[in-house]
Amino acid sequence: MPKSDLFPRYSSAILDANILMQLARGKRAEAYRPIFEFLVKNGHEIFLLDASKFELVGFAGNKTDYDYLSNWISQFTILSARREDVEAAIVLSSFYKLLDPSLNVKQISFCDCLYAAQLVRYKENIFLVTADIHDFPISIFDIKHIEIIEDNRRATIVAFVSYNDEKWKSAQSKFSESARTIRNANI
Amino acid sequence: MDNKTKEKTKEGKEENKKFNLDKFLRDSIKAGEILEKKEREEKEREYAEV
Repeated sequence: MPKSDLFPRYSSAILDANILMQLARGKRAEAYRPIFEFLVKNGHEIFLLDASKFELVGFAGNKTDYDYLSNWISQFTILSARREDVEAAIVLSSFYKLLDPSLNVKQISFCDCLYAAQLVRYKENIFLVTADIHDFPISIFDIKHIEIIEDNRRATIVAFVSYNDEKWKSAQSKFSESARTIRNANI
Repeated sequence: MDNKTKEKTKEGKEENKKFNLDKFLRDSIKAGEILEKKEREEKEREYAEV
């Protein structure tokens, strides 16, 4: 588990929906206990994005399942994405594409960009816990800690991702530069 | 964070102390079954479309 001083005490944690999906579908929820214990012990409030709630509870198909899933995640605070977050998510997806032109639309999900937008918005006040390390490029964000969870003989890599001001500014600068490059090429 | 979110965060910290991890993990078993069912139905629908 990460050291207790890895993140500022009482900073918040945002959970990627994939953690909860892995935890529930793998039928080895107990394996994830240390992660939640770390968060609770260090006073990190646990957030879920409203878009994650949609991923987890949406398409439930009947009221019983809907109620069960809603209740299951009800202990987490729901963080609502704002218009600026959606804008930031759109910009981030463009950064990702600039940094890796081979990426296609299916590889960059709106939800993942919304998580990243929260890191950009709240900076050192929030960090992300995800089960897919590849969704958050290290050219923009820091992977502060990795935990390997043995999940039904499969290894699930849980990463703690945080904002890095220097990397963010560098990505912004590269993005602005790309406009100049294209303008010059058209002259 | 703005005041509204700070307020929410403060409330959340209080709630965090009450976070019932045992219940959450216990409830995850049935949640997993529902999520798997959703996934299965979605796959079946996709196959049917192909």
